[in-house]
Amino acid sequence: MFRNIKTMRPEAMIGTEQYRSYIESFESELLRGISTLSTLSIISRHPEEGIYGYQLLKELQEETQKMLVIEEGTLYPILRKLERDGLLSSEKRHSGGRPRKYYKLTEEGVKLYDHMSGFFSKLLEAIASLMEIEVKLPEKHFIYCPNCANKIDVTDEEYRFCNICGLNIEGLAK
Amino acid sequence: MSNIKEQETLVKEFKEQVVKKLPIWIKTNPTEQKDVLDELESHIWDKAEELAQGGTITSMHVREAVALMGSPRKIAKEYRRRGTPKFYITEELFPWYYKSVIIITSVIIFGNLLTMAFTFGGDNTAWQVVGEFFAGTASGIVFGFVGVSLLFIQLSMNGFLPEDLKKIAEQKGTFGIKAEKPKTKIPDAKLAEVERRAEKKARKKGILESQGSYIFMGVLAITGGFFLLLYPIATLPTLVDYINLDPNVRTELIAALVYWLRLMGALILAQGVFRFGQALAGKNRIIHQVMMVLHIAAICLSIPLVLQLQYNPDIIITTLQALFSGADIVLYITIGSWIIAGLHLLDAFRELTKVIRLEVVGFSQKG
Repeated sequence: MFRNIKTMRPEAMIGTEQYRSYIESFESELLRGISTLSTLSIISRHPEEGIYGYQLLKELQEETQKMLVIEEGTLYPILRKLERDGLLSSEKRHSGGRPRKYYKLTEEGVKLYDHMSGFFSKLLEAIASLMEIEVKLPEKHFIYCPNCANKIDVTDEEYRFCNICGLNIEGLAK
Repeated sequence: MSNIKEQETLVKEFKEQVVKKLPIWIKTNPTEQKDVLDELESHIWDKAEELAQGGTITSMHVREAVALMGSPRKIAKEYRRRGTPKFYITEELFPWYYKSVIIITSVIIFGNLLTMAFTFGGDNTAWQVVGEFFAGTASGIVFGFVGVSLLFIQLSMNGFLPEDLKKIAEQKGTFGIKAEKPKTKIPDAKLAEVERRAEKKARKKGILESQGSYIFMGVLAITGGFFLLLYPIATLPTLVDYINLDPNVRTELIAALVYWLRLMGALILAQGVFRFGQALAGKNRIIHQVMMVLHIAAICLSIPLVLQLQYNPDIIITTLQALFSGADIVLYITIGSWIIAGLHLLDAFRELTKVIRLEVVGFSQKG
Protein backbone atom coordinates (compact mmCIF):
# COMPACT_ATOMS: atom_id res chain seq x y z
CA MET A 1 0.00 0.00 0.00
CA PHE A 2 2.65 2.53 1.04
CA ARG A 3 4.83 1.68 -1.92
CA ASN A 4 2.03 2.88 -4.19
CA ILE A 5 1.54 6.19 -2.42
CA LYS A 6 3.41 8.93 -4.22
CA THR A 7 2.55 11.95 -2.11
CA MET A 8 1.04 12.62 1.32
CA ARG A 9 0.40 15.58 3.54
CA PRO A 10 2.49 15.41 6.71
CA GLU A 11 -0.55 16.10 8.90
CA ALA A 12 -2.59 13.30 7.25
CA MET A 13 -3.27 10.10 9.16
CA ILE A 14 -0.73 8.20 7.10
CA GLY A 15 1.94 10.56 8.34
CA THR A 16 1.84 9.08 11.83
CA GLU A 17 4.30 6.30 12.66
CA GLN A 18 1.69 4.42 14.70
CA TYR A 19 -0.77 4.25 11.82
CA ARG A 20 1.89 3.19 9.34
CA SER A 21 3.26 0.43 11.51
CA TYR A 22 -0.23 -0.92 12.25
CA ILE A 23 -1.22 -1.02 8.59
CA GLU A 24 2.14 -2.42 7.51
CA SER A 25 1.77 -5.23 9.99
CA PHE A 26 -1.79 -5.93 8.79
CA GLU A 27 -0.72 -5.92 5.13
CA SER A 28 2.21 -8.16 5.82
CA GLU A 29 -0.10 -10.72 7.50
CA LEU A 30 -2.67 -10.53 4.73
CA LEU A 31 -0.17 -10.68 1.90
CA ARG A 32 1.87 -13.58 3.18
CA GLY A 33 -0.55 -16.27 2.03
CA ILE A 34 -1.71 -14.31 -1.00
CA SER A 35 1.89 -13.87 -2.21
CA THR A 36 2.48 -17.59 -1.98
CA LEU A 37 -0.73 -18.35 -3.82
CA SER A 38 -0.04 -15.78 -6.53
CA THR A 39 3.50 -17.09 -6.94
CA LEU A 40 2.15 -20.61 -7.40
CA SER A 41 -0.43 -19.28 -9.85
CA ILE A 42 2.24 -17.69 -12.08
CA ILE A 43 4.39 -20.83 -11.90
CA SER A 44 1.38 -23.00 -12.83
CA ARG A 45 1.21 -21.11 -16.14
CA HIS A 46 4.62 -22.52 -17.08
CA PRO A 47 4.11 -26.25 -16.63
CA GLU A 48 6.65 -27.37 -19.23
CA GLU A 49 9.57 -24.97 -19.31
CA GLY A 50 9.29 -23.57 -15.79
CA ILE A 51 9.97 -19.99 -14.78
CA TYR A 52 12.86 -18.22 -13.03
CA GLY A 53 12.55 -15.70 -10.23
CA TYR A 54 13.02 -12.47 -12.13
CA GLN A 55 10.55 -13.45 -14.86
CA LEU A 56 8.07 -14.54 -12.21
CA LEU A 57 8.20 -11.16 -10.49
CA LYS A 58 7.74 -9.36 -13.77
CA GLU A 59 4.65 -11.39 -14.63
CA LEU A 60 3.29 -10.95 -11.13
CA GLN A 61 3.66 -7.18 -11.31
CA GLU A 62 2.04 -7.03 -14.73
CA GLU A 63 -0.87 -9.29 -13.75
CA THR A 64 -1.62 -7.40 -10.56
CA GLN A 65 -0.97 -3.93 -12.00
CA LYS A 66 1.86 -3.59 -9.49
CA MET A 67 -0.64 -3.83 -6.62
CA LEU A 68 0.84 -7.04 -5.27
CA VAL A 69 4.50 -6.26 -4.81
CA ILE A 70 6.85 -8.82 -3.38
CA GLU A 71 10.15 -7.31 -2.35
CA GLU A 72 12.53 -8.68 -4.93
CA GLY A 73 15.01 -10.35 -2.61
CA THR A 74 12.35 -11.98 -0.48
CA LEU A 75 10.86 -13.95 -3.39
CA TYR A 76 13.70 -16.46 -3.35
CA PRO A 77 13.25 -17.62 0.27
CA ILE A 78 9.56 -18.16 -0.58
CA LEU A 79 10.47 -20.25 -3.64
CA ARG A 80 12.99 -22.24 -1.64
CA LYS A 81 10.42 -22.96 1.06
CA LEU A 82 7.88 -24.12 -1.51
CA GLU A 83 10.53 -26.33 -3.07
CA ARG A 84 11.43 -27.78 0.30
CA ASP A 85 7.73 -28.43 1.00
CA GLY A 86 7.56 -30.45 -2.22
CA LEU A 87 5.28 -28.08 -4.16
CA LEU A 88 7.99 -27.00 -6.57
CA SER A 89 10.86 -28.63 -8.36
CA SER A 90 13.78 -26.70 -9.81
CA GLU A 91 16.33 -27.06 -12.55
CA LYS A 92 19.41 -24.94 -13.29
CA ARG A 93 19.75 -23.81 -16.88
CA HIS A 94 21.75 -21.16 -18.70
CA SER A 95 19.74 -18.55 -20.55
CA GLY A 96 20.45 -14.97 -21.52
CA GLY A 97 24.10 -15.53 -20.76
CA ARG A 98 23.68 -16.33 -17.09
CA PRO A 99 22.73 -19.33 -14.94
CA ARG A 100 19.10 -19.34 -13.88
CA LYS A 101 17.03 -21.58 -11.69
CA TYR A 102 13.73 -22.59 -13.28
CA TYR A 103 10.85 -23.58 -11.05
CA LYS A 104 7.92 -25.86 -11.93
CA LEU A 105 4.98 -27.18 -9.96
CA THR A 106 5.32 -30.79 -8.93
CA GLU A 107 2.40 -33.20 -9.28
CA GLU A 108 1.65 -32.72 -5.61
CA GLY A 109 2.10 -28.95 -6.04
CA VAL A 110 -0.56 -28.87 -8.76
CA LYS A 111 -3.07 -30.62 -6.49
CA LEU A 112 -2.25 -28.39 -3.54
CA TYR A 113 -2.43 -25.27 -5.69
CA ASP A 114 -5.89 -26.26 -6.99
CA HIS A 115 -7.08 -26.79 -3.47
CA MET A 116 -5.54 -23.57 -2.14
CA SER A 117 -6.80 -21.43 -5.02
CA GLY A 118 -10.23 -23.06 -4.78
CA PHE A 119 -10.41 -22.25 -1.09
CA PHE A 120 -9.23 -18.69 -1.65
CA SER A 121 -11.75 -18.15 -4.47
CA LYS A 122 -14.65 -19.42 -2.36
CA LEU A 123 -13.45 -17.32 0.54
CA LEU A 124 -13.39 -14.21 -1.64
CA GLU A 125 -16.86 -15.02 -2.93
CA ALA A 126 -18.11 -15.47 0.61
CA ILE A 127 -16.71 -12.21 1.96
CA ALA A 128 -17.51 -10.22 -1.18
CA SER A 129 -20.75 -8.86 0.23
CA LEU A 130 -18.97 -7.76 3.40
CA MET A 131 -16.51 -5.76 1.32
CA GLU A 132 -19.27 -4.51 -0.95
CA ILE A 133 -17.61 -5.96 -4.02
CA GLU A 134 -18.67 -8.49 -6.60
CA VAL A 135 -16.85 -11.73 -7.19
CA LYS A 136 -17.87 -13.98 -10.03
CA LEU A 137 -16.25 -17.37 -10.07
CA PRO A 138 -15.65 -19.02 -13.46
CA GLU A 139 -18.11 -21.82 -12.76
CA LYS A 140 -18.46 -22.69 -16.43
CA HIS A 141 -14.94 -24.02 -16.46
CA PHE A 142 -14.45 -25.08 -12.87
CA ILE A 143 -16.46 -26.47 -10.05
CA TYR A 144 -15.54 -25.84 -6.45
CA CYS A 145 -15.91 -28.94 -4.35
CA PRO A 146 -18.77 -28.26 -1.88
CA ASN A 147 -16.98 -30.36 0.69
CA CYS A 148 -13.40 -29.03 0.61
CA ALA A 149 -13.46 -26.08 -1.88
CA ASN A 150 -11.00 -27.81 -4.21
CA LYS A 151 -10.98 -26.22 -7.69
CA ILE A 152 -11.79 -28.87 -10.29
CA ASP A 153 -11.51 -28.45 -14.05
CA VAL A 154 -14.88 -29.60 -15.45
CA THR A 155 -13.44 -30.08 -18.93
CA ASP A 156 -11.51 -33.04 -17.58
CA GLU A 157 -14.04 -35.84 -18.00
CA GLU A 158 -11.99 -38.29 -16.00
CA TYR A 159 -12.91 -36.49 -12.80
CA ARG A 160 -15.80 -38.18 -11.06
CA PHE A 161 -14.53 -37.67 -7.55
CA CYS A 162 -12.77 -34.72 -5.92
CA ASN A 163 -9.13 -35.75 -5.77
CA ILE A 164 -8.67 -34.03 -2.42
CA CYS A 165 -11.61 -35.24 -0.34
CA GLY A 166 -13.07 -37.98 -2.54
CA LEU A 167 -16.57 -36.46 -2.82
CA ASN A 168 -18.57 -37.67 -5.82
CA ILE A 169 -18.80 -34.59 -8.07
CA GLU A 170 -20.74 -36.08 -10.97
CA GLY A 171 -23.64 -33.82 -11.96
CA LEU A 172 -22.33 -30.82 -10.03
CA ALA A 173 -21.05 -28.95 -13.11
CA LYS A 174 -23.36 -26.14 -14.24
CA MET B 1 37.91 1.68 -10.72
CA SER B 2 36.44 0.67 -14.08
CA ASN B 3 32.70 0.70 -14.48
CA ILE B 4 32.35 -3.11 -14.70
CA LYS B 5 34.62 -3.66 -11.74
CA GLU B 6 32.61 -1.18 -9.69
CA GLN B 7 29.38 -2.95 -10.62
CA GLU B 8 30.84 -6.31 -9.63
CA THR B 9 32.04 -4.82 -6.35
CA LEU B 10 28.54 -3.54 -5.61
CA VAL B 11 27.04 -6.99 -6.21
CA LYS B 12 29.82 -8.67 -4.23
CA GLU B 13 29.30 -6.34 -1.26
CA PHE B 14 25.57 -7.01 -1.31
CA LYS B 15 26.20 -10.76 -1.36
CA GLU B 16 28.67 -10.46 1.52
CA GLN B 17 26.09 -8.61 3.58
CA VAL B 18 23.50 -11.27 2.85
CA VAL B 19 25.95 -14.04 3.82
CA LYS B 20 26.60 -12.32 7.15
CA LYS B 21 22.90 -12.40 7.99
CA LEU B 22 22.07 -15.85 6.61
CA PRO B 23 21.07 -18.53 9.14
CA ILE B 24 23.73 -21.05 10.12
CA TRP B 25 21.90 -23.93 8.43
CA ILE B 26 22.61 -22.30 5.07
CA LYS B 27 26.12 -21.17 5.99
CA THR B 28 27.11 -24.70 6.96
CA ASN B 29 26.03 -25.96 3.54
CA PRO B 30 28.35 -24.38 0.91
CA THR B 31 26.28 -25.71 -2.04
CA GLU B 32 23.07 -24.25 -0.64
CA GLN B 33 24.76 -20.94 0.16
CA LYS B 34 26.20 -20.68 -3.37
CA ASP B 35 22.80 -21.52 -4.81
CA VAL B 36 21.13 -18.75 -2.78
CA LEU B 37 23.75 -16.15 -3.75
CA ASP B 38 23.81 -17.15 -7.43
CA GLU B 39 20.05 -16.70 -7.64
CA LEU B 40 20.21 -13.27 -6.02
CA GLU B 41 23.09 -12.17 -8.26
CA SER B 42 21.31 -13.34 -11.39
CA HIS B 43 18.27 -11.32 -10.33
CA ILE B 44 20.33 -8.16 -9.76
CA TRP B 45 21.86 -8.34 -13.25
CA ASP B 46 18.42 -8.96 -14.81
CA LYS B 47 17.01 -5.97 -12.97
CA ALA B 48 19.96 -3.76 -13.91
CA GLU B 49 19.47 -4.77 -17.53
CA GLU B 50 15.81 -3.79 -17.30
CA LEU B 51 16.69 -0.46 -15.71
CA ALA B 52 19.22 0.21 -18.46
CA GLN B 53 16.35 -0.14 -20.97
CA GLY B 54 18.43 -1.92 -23.58
CA GLY B 55 21.42 0.39 -23.11
CA THR B 56 24.70 -0.24 -21.33
CA ILE B 57 24.42 -1.16 -17.69
CA THR B 58 26.00 1.45 -15.45
CA SER B 59 26.91 1.39 -11.77
CA MET B 60 23.84 3.50 -11.08
CA HIS B 61 21.60 0.78 -12.53
CA VAL B 62 23.29 -1.87 -10.45
CA ARG B 63 23.04 0.26 -7.33
CA GLU B 64 19.32 0.73 -7.93
CA ALA B 65 18.83 -2.98 -8.65
CA VAL B 66 20.60 -3.81 -5.39
CA ALA B 67 18.42 -1.33 -3.51
CA LEU B 68 15.28 -2.90 -4.97
CA MET B 69 16.33 -6.30 -3.67
CA GLY B 70 15.50 -5.13 -0.16
CA SER B 71 17.72 -5.16 2.90
CA PRO B 72 20.01 -8.19 3.40
CA ARG B 73 18.56 -8.48 6.91
CA LYS B 74 15.03 -8.83 5.55
CA ILE B 75 16.10 -11.37 2.92
CA ALA B 76 17.95 -13.44 5.51
CA LYS B 77 14.93 -13.16 7.83
CA GLU B 78 12.76 -14.77 5.15
CA TYR B 79 15.19 -17.69 4.94
CA ARG B 80 14.84 -18.13 8.69
CA ARG B 81 11.07 -18.39 8.39
CA ARG B 82 10.90 -22.17 8.40
CA GLY B 83 9.07 -24.66 10.56
CA THR B 84 5.59 -24.73 12.06
CA PRO B 85 5.28 -22.46 15.10
CA LYS B 86 4.38 -24.29 18.29
CA PHE B 87 4.82 -22.24 21.44
CA TYR B 88 8.24 -20.68 20.94
CA ILE B 89 9.81 -23.81 19.48
CA THR B 90 8.81 -25.13 16.09
CA GLU B 91 6.83 -28.34 15.86
CA GLU B 92 9.60 -29.93 13.81
CA LEU B 93 12.19 -29.30 16.51
CA PHE B 94 9.96 -30.37 19.40
CA PRO B 95 10.98 -34.07 19.40
CA TRP B 96 14.65 -33.01 19.51
CA TYR B 97 13.91 -30.54 22.29
CA TYR B 98 12.11 -33.23 24.26
CA LYS B 99 15.00 -35.66 23.77
CA SER B 100 17.55 -33.05 24.83
CA VAL B 101 15.60 -32.26 28.01
CA ILE B 102 15.44 -35.99 28.85
CA ILE B 103 19.17 -36.44 28.25
CA ILE B 104 20.16 -33.33 30.22
CA THR B 105 17.85 -34.35 33.09
CA SER B 106 19.33 -37.88 33.14
CA VAL B 107 22.87 -36.53 33.15
CA ILE B 108 22.05 -34.07 35.96
CA ILE B 109 20.42 -36.78 38.09
CA PHE B 110 23.32 -39.14 37.45
CA GLY B 111 25.88 -36.45 38.23
CA ASN B 112 24.17 -35.57 41.49
CA LEU B 113 23.83 -39.21 42.49
CA LEU B 114 27.52 -39.60 41.84
CA THR B 115 28.35 -36.56 43.94
CA MET B 116 26.11 -37.90 46.69
CA ALA B 117 27.88 -41.25 46.60
CA PHE B 118 31.24 -39.62 47.20
CA THR B 119 30.09 -37.20 49.90
CA PHE B 120 28.68 -39.98 52.08
CA GLY B 121 30.88 -40.72 55.04
CA GLY B 122 32.26 -37.19 55.19
CA ASP B 123 31.39 -34.55 57.76
CA ASN B 124 27.75 -34.29 56.63
CA THR B 125 24.99 -36.48 57.98
CA ALA B 126 23.07 -38.79 55.64
CA TRP B 127 20.07 -36.43 55.68
CA GLN B 128 22.24 -33.46 54.74
CA VAL B 129 23.76 -35.41 51.86
CA VAL B 130 20.32 -36.50 50.60
CA GLY B 131 19.05 -32.92 51.01
CA GLU B 132 21.98 -31.61 48.97
CA PHE B 133 21.23 -34.24 46.34
CA PHE B 134 17.65 -33.06 45.93
CA ALA B 135 18.61 -29.39 45.99
CA GLY B 136 21.40 -29.95 43.47
CA THR B 137 19.18 -32.03 41.20
CA ALA B 138 16.31 -29.53 41.32
CA SER B 139 18.49 -26.50 40.59
CA GLY B 140 20.42 -28.44 37.93
CA ILE B 141 17.21 -29.47 36.19
CA VAL B 142 15.89 -25.89 36.29
CA PHE B 143 19.13 -24.48 34.81
CA GLY B 144 19.37 -27.33 32.28
CA PHE B 145 15.74 -26.89 31.24
CA VAL B 146 16.09 -23.11 30.84
CA GLY B 147 19.37 -23.53 28.91
CA VAL B 148 18.01 -26.16 26.54
CA SER B 149 14.77 -24.19 26.04
CA LEU B 150 16.67 -21.00 25.18
CA LEU B 151 18.88 -22.92 22.77
CA PHE B 152 15.91 -24.44 20.96
CA ILE B 153 14.03 -21.12 20.86
CA GLN B 154 17.10 -19.63 19.20
CA LEU B 155 17.32 -22.54 16.74
CA SER B 156 13.62 -22.16 15.92
CA MET B 157 14.02 -18.43 15.36
CA ASN B 158 16.84 -19.20 12.92
CA GLY B 159 14.65 -21.60 10.96
CA PHE B 160 16.56 -24.71 11.93
CA LEU B 161 14.90 -28.00 11.06
CA PRO B 162 15.82 -31.50 12.24
CA GLU B 163 17.45 -32.22 8.88
CA ASP B 164 19.88 -29.32 9.45
CA LEU B 165 20.77 -30.66 12.89
CA LYS B 166 21.22 -34.11 11.37
CA LYS B 167 23.51 -32.69 8.69
CA ILE B 168 25.61 -30.94 11.31
CA ALA B 169 25.64 -34.06 13.48
CA GLU B 170 26.60 -36.23 10.50
CA GLN B 171 29.36 -33.78 9.54
CA LYS B 172 30.76 -33.99 13.05
CA GLY B 173 30.06 -37.72 13.26
CA THR B 174 29.10 -37.56 16.90
CA PHE B 175 25.57 -38.88 16.98
CA GLY B 176 23.79 -41.93 15.69
CA ILE B 177 20.64 -40.49 14.21
CA LYS B 178 17.30 -42.18 14.04
CA ALA B 179 16.08 -42.72 10.51
CA GLU B 180 13.33 -40.29 9.54
CA LYS B 181 9.82 -41.71 9.66
CA PRO B 182 8.30 -42.17 6.22
CA LYS B 183 5.83 -39.40 5.32
CA THR B 184 3.22 -41.76 3.93
CA LYS B 185 0.75 -43.16 6.40
CA ILE B 186 1.45 -46.73 7.35
CA PRO B 187 -1.47 -48.94 8.33
CA ASP B 188 -1.63 -49.49 12.10
CA ALA B 189 -1.17 -53.26 11.82
CA LYS B 190 1.93 -52.80 9.68
CA LEU B 191 3.25 -50.11 12.03
CA ALA B 192 2.77 -52.44 15.00
CA GLU B 193 4.68 -55.12 13.13
CA VAL B 194 7.50 -52.66 12.31
CA GLU B 195 7.66 -51.56 15.96
CA ARG B 196 7.69 -55.17 17.13
CA ARG B 197 10.58 -55.97 14.78
CA ALA B 198 12.46 -52.81 15.80
CA GLU B 199 12.05 -53.70 19.45
CA LYS B 200 13.29 -57.21 18.75
CA LYS B 201 16.25 -55.77 16.86
CA ALA B 202 17.08 -53.39 19.73
CA ARG B 203 17.09 -56.33 22.13
CA LYS B 204 19.27 -58.32 19.76
CA LYS B 205 21.73 -55.45 19.35
CA GLY B 206 22.22 -55.04 23.09
CA ILE B 207 20.26 -51.91 24.02
CA LEU B 208 17.66 -54.08 25.69
CA GLU B 209 17.84 -57.58 27.16
CA SER B 210 15.34 -60.25 26.26
CA GLN B 211 12.06 -60.38 28.15
CA GLY B 212 13.13 -63.68 29.71
CA SER B 213 16.34 -62.11 31.02
CA TYR B 214 14.42 -59.26 32.62
CA ILE B 215 12.02 -61.71 34.27
CA PHE B 216 14.94 -63.81 35.53
CA MET B 217 16.85 -60.77 36.85
CA GLY B 218 13.68 -59.36 38.35
CA VAL B 219 12.69 -62.55 40.15
CA LEU B 220 16.24 -63.11 41.39
CA ALA B 221 16.59 -59.59 42.76
CA ILE B 222 13.10 -59.54 44.31
CA THR B 223 13.78 -62.88 46.04
CA GLY B 224 17.20 -61.71 47.23
CA GLY B 225 15.82 -58.39 48.39
CA PHE B 226 12.96 -59.98 50.32
CA PHE B 227 15.39 -62.43 51.88
CA LEU B 228 17.58 -59.63 53.22
CA LEU B 229 14.57 -57.61 54.31
CA LEU B 230 12.63 -60.36 56.05
CA TYR B 231 15.15 -62.99 57.10
CA PRO B 232 15.18 -62.82 60.86
CA ILE B 233 18.96 -62.35 61.11
CA ALA B 234 18.53 -60.54 64.39
CA THR B 235 17.10 -63.61 66.12
CA LEU B 236 19.42 -66.22 64.65
CA PRO B 237 23.09 -66.91 65.37
CA THR B 238 25.32 -64.86 63.08
CA LEU B 239 29.09 -64.52 62.84
CA VAL B 240 28.75 -61.85 65.52
CA ASP B 241 27.77 -64.58 67.98
CA TYR B 242 31.18 -66.23 67.58
CA ILE B 243 33.16 -63.30 68.80
CA ASN B 244 34.11 -62.81 72.32
CA LEU B 245 32.75 -59.35 73.13
CA ASP B 246 30.63 -57.64 75.68
CA PRO B 247 26.93 -58.63 75.09
CA ASN B 248 25.92 -54.95 74.82
CA VAL B 249 28.53 -54.34 72.15
CA ARG B 250 27.43 -57.50 70.31
CA THR B 251 23.82 -56.30 70.34
CA GLU B 252 24.92 -52.98 68.83
CA LEU B 253 26.95 -54.75 66.13
CA ILE B 254 24.04 -57.03 65.27
CA ALA B 255 21.67 -54.06 65.07
CA ALA B 256 24.05 -52.15 62.75
CA LEU B 257 24.55 -55.16 60.48
CA VAL B 258 20.83 -55.95 60.32
CA TYR B 259 20.02 -52.31 59.54
CA TRP B 260 22.63 -52.27 56.76
CA LEU B 261 21.42 -55.59 55.30
CA ARG B 262 17.82 -54.41 55.31
CA LEU B 263 18.70 -51.18 53.51
CA MET B 264 20.66 -53.16 50.94
CA GLY B 265 17.76 -55.63 50.69
CA ALA B 266 15.33 -52.78 49.99
CA LEU B 267 17.53 -51.44 47.20
CA ILE B 268 17.98 -54.89 45.65
CA LEU B 269 14.23 -55.46 45.89
CA ALA B 270 13.62 -52.12 44.15
CA GLN B 271 16.06 -53.04 41.37
CA GLY B 272 14.21 -56.32 40.91
CA VAL B 273 10.87 -54.53 40.68
CA PHE B 274 12.25 -52.17 38.01
CA ARG B 275 13.70 -55.06 36.04
CA PHE B 276 10.38 -56.85 36.28
CA GLY B 277 8.71 -53.67 35.05
CA GLN B 278 10.96 -53.75 31.99
CA ALA B 279 9.89 -57.33 31.33
CA LEU B 280 6.31 -56.07 31.16
CA ALA B 281 7.13 -52.90 29.20
CA GLY B 282 7.21 -54.71 25.84
CA LYS B 283 7.72 -52.15 23.07
CA ASN B 284 6.93 -49.11 25.19
CA ARG B 285 10.17 -47.17 25.03
CA ILE B 286 9.17 -44.58 27.63
CA ILE B 287 8.37 -47.22 30.27
CA HIS B 288 11.69 -48.91 29.55
CA GLN B 289 13.48 -45.63 30.04
CA VAL B 290 11.63 -44.73 33.24
CA MET B 291 12.40 -48.18 34.68
CA MET B 292 16.04 -47.89 33.66
CA VAL B 293 16.40 -44.43 35.25
CA LEU B 294 14.83 -45.73 38.47
CA HIS B 295 17.19 -48.70 38.30
CA ILE B 296 20.13 -46.31 37.96
CA ALA B 297 18.90 -44.39 41.00
CA ALA B 298 18.73 -47.61 43.03
CA ILE B 299 22.24 -48.60 41.91
CA CYS B 300 23.62 -45.17 42.76
CA LEU B 301 21.97 -45.23 46.19
CA SER B 302 23.64 -48.56 46.91
CA ILE B 303 27.09 -46.98 46.29
CA PRO B 304 27.11 -44.88 49.48
CA LEU B 305 25.72 -47.89 51.34
CA VAL B 306 28.69 -49.99 50.24
CA LEU B 307 31.11 -47.20 51.11
CA GLN B 308 29.49 -47.02 54.56
CA LEU B 309 31.27 -50.30 55.32
CA GLN B 310 34.51 -48.28 55.52
CA TYR B 311 33.19 -45.44 57.64
CA ASN B 312 30.98 -47.32 60.07
CA PRO B 313 33.08 -49.99 61.86
CA ASP B 314 29.99 -51.33 63.67
CA ILE B 315 28.61 -52.87 60.48
CA ILE B 316 31.36 -55.37 59.76
CA ILE B 317 34.89 -54.12 60.56
CA THR B 318 34.74 -54.59 64.34
CA THR B 319 33.32 -58.09 64.00
CA LEU B 320 35.94 -59.18 61.48
CA GLN B 321 38.76 -57.61 63.48
CA ALA B 322 37.66 -59.60 66.52
CA LEU B 323 37.50 -62.77 64.44
CA PHE B 324 40.78 -62.29 62.53
CA SER B 325 42.90 -60.28 64.88
CA GLY B 326 46.08 -60.49 62.79
CA ALA B 327 44.59 -59.32 59.47
CA ASP B 328 44.42 -55.73 58.17
CA ILE B 329 40.62 -55.79 57.94
CA VAL B 330 40.27 -52.02 57.35
CA LEU B 331 42.48 -52.25 54.26
CA TYR B 332 40.60 -55.25 52.87
CA ILE B 333 37.21 -53.63 53.49
CA THR B 334 38.40 -50.36 51.94
CA ILE B 335 39.67 -52.09 48.78
CA GLY B 336 36.63 -54.37 48.61
CA SER B 337 34.07 -51.60 49.06
CA TRP B 338 35.77 -49.37 46.49
CA ILE B 339 35.81 -52.23 43.97
CA ILE B 340 32.11 -52.96 44.56
CA ALA B 341 31.28 -49.23 44.40
CA GLY B 342 33.26 -48.94 41.16
CA LEU B 343 31.41 -51.88 39.63
CA HIS B 344 28.10 -50.32 40.66
CA LEU B 345 29.18 -47.07 39.08
CA LEU B 346 30.08 -48.79 35.83
CA ASP B 347 26.74 -50.58 35.88
CA ALA B 348 24.91 -47.27 36.39
CA PHE B 349 26.89 -45.65 33.58
CA ARG B 350 26.17 -48.56 31.22
CA GLU B 351 22.48 -48.30 32.04
CA LEU B 352 22.51 -44.53 31.51
CA THR B 353 24.09 -44.92 28.06
CA LYS B 354 21.31 -47.37 27.22
CA VAL B 355 18.68 -44.82 28.29
CA ILE B 356 20.32 -42.15 26.13
CA ARG B 357 20.79 -44.50 23.17
CA LEU B 358 17.14 -45.50 23.38
CA GLU B 359 16.19 -41.82 23.44
CA VAL B 360 18.47 -40.75 20.61
CA VAL B 361 18.40 -43.73 18.29
CA GLY B 362 15.19 -45.39 19.43
CA PHE B 363 14.51 -49.03 18.77
CA SER B 364 15.32 -48.59 15.10
CA GLN B 365 19.05 -48.00 15.29
CA LYS B 366 21.83 -50.54 15.42
CA GLY B 367 22.96 -50.97 18.95
